[in-house]
Amino acid sequence: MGIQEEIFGVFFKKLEEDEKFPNSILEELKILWENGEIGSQEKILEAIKRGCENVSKD
Amino acid sequence: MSAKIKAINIHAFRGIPDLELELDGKSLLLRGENGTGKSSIVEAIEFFFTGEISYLAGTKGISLQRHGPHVNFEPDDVNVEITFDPGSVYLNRTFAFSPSPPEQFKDYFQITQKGTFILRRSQILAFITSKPADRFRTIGSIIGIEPLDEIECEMMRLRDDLKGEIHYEEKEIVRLINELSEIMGKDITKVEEVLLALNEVLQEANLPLIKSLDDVDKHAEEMLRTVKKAEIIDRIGVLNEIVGETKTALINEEIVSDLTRLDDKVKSLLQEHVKLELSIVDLLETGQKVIEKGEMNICPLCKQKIDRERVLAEIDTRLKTLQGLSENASEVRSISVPIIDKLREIADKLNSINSKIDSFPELEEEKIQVAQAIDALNDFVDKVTSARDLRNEIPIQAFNQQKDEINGAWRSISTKCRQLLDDIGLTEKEKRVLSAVVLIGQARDKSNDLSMVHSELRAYQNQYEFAEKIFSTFSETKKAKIQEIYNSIRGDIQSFYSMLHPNEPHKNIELVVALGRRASTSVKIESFGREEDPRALTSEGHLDSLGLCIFLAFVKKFNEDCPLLVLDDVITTIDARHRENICRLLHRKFGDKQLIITTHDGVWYEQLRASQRAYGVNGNFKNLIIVDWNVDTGPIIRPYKPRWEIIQEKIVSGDKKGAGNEGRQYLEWCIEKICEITQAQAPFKISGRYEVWDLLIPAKKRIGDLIKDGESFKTIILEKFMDLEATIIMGNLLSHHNPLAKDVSIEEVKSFCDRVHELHQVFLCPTCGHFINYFRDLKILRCSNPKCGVPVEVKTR
Repeated sequence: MGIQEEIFGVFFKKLEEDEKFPNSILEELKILWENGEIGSQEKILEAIKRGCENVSKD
Repeated sequence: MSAKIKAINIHAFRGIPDLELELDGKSLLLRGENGTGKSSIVEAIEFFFTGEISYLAGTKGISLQRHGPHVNFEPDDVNVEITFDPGSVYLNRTFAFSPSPPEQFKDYFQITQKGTFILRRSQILAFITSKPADRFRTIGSIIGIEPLDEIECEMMRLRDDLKGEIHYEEKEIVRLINELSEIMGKDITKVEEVLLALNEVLQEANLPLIKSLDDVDKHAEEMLRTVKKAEIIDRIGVLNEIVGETKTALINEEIVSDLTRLDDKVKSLLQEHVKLELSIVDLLETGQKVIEKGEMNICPLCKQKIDRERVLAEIDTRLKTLQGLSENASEVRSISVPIIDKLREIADKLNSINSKIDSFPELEEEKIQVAQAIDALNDFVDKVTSARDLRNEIPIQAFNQQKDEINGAWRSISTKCRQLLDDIGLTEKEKRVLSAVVLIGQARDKSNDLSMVHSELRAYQNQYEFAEKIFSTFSETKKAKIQEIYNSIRGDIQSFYSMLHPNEPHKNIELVVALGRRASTSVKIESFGREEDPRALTSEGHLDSLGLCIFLAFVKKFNEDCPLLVLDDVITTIDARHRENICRLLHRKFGDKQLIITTHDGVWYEQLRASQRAYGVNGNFKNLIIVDWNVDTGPIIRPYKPRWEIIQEKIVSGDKKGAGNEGRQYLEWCIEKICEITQAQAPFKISGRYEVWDLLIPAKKRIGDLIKDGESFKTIILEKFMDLEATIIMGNLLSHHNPLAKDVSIEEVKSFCDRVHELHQVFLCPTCGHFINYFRDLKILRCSNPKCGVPVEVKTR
């Protein structure tokens, strides 16, 4: 595993362990990372907004 | 089996018209004077793997396309071919074509394409003396975390922008509360208090009360029906709205003070060095537009072919990096968001009022003023936006003037509309009704705005909380991981450094991620019991070797799958004793790699040659020398010849000066070696550079003291020293700019060189030819080759 993968692995794990951080946003972030789109603030904001919407629905 | 370079063919590149280097998978040791094409060979290797020459990158006025090709050739002629083993796989790169490695070389190329297998003298100090942020970047490129840096920047920008939005919404709430208080004529702290305050006013005016804020429109409509002049009720309604909207000044002093605060911060960032980077931003943006719009794939400057997508991607990355100049730039971005939003809101209000006064010919003059104000305001918003991106200062003075004119037009609209209402001739009761209707309308609008802003604020706060969590978690994780990497190579750095500098008071070398900064690395070393920046307590030579150790430690960890390591003329300030330790380090720790080592330094070359013999790896090396270079031939490369053979050739050809120079260098090396093995006490010189006489006398004295009287070896050596001293003047005459040099005969030079050679021979084991060594505990001088069948042995005191 490369360093980037390692860092993102730990990053996602920390967010997962954070009880206050919504799982829905975490999943959106993971999708961004997998699609190579996490390097854009617009995409991250969209992910947060979508994640927040899904939290409201839940 | 790992990949090894079998052969390198270079055509029309840098100082090389044509060159073929057969390595057969061996390491290369190449010596050449400055300007003979050593670095051109390294650059060709770098170009082959990376498509670039990092040495040229970022240098003003220099480009690979223009300066990469040999002066007698065109860019299309450039071709670097490398053949790899196993399998004799042939690959090549030109300006238009990149190598496509087969599957078995994928790992090799994945590492080599980053170019982090090459260390140059100019780069070595980047690990030590550069700024922490530059050092971080240099290391980042080796460990492959550059893209993470950009991701972290984007996360930070999002957090900053959301913070700016929150500030704006909070200020909006304060503004709306203040305006509501002003409209209602009493302090309002929250939207729930509006209905009560409204009913107090209605009760006072003897008008019907409102049950809920949801009913205000219906209530106002019913009240308006009581006004007699129903035929102009729409006109009255619009005038009332205008009067209500223009009751308070459009642009207040608060926005001017906010703008001034923002401008102060912008000014501090617009210093010379930032300006330079900003001018690069302009250039890059223009270039980006030109390449994007024109869909061009030819460089407009040098007319060479470019990889359009790659250039655009690189411009984009560079622009993003430059935009995130510092924490201050981040603050500027953050505080500019509410100001720009506010200015846009003012422009919206002007647009709204302009449409309302459109049906009033009496306000023709104001219409023109408002239209001009809208244009001026939009221009000003553009200026603030570009100031946010640190391209200019904010023209505060001009804005102040515009502000007065806009507020003047605003007041004039208010006054004229009141006058028009008066002219309609309403009764006192009708006026009371109308003012109540205006009040209700304003209270409704402000209350709605306030509710909306509250809701937006909650959304932004929510988003900010998550954006901050994302940024801080990512940043912490990244720093922790990088520190973990630094810690993991700490042992190697320390061990390499200790190999180079044994018994020296330097320990606990550390690379430390600076916690307070986003991307920064500091170097620490413990010297004489104090933890310091290495520059504080160590010599230039120590810094060089520390830089080398850090580089090699990273290479060991991250370039494991790449058996290629290139050191381009990196050893210059390190003294002879420590250089031998570098040889040891390279052979012991990097012996499995294919090394390409270039140098201009004859002594370092000899040391590397000697170390090949000592470590039994001379069969793994190609030892070559560049004997000449000119623009038409490029470097003329010959296999290494022992110095004594070169001296003899020069003597035969009558080259007095050449033979004298070589003879003197031979002597320097020989005396240094004798001092080293006999542990002769030479006077300490800070520079680490010793003249012949600095070492000759201590060497001779040490031999006299060390070897017991009566040993024939001692007599022979001392005789050789005396013979040498009798002729040493020849070496001096010929190696300096001495007018007497012309009077020296070739026989005299030969005599000097022979004496040096004889002295050297005495110290070699007659059985195996290895240099003798001093074994202090055994009190003997003995052949250094442990496998020697009949080692020479001399007793010492």
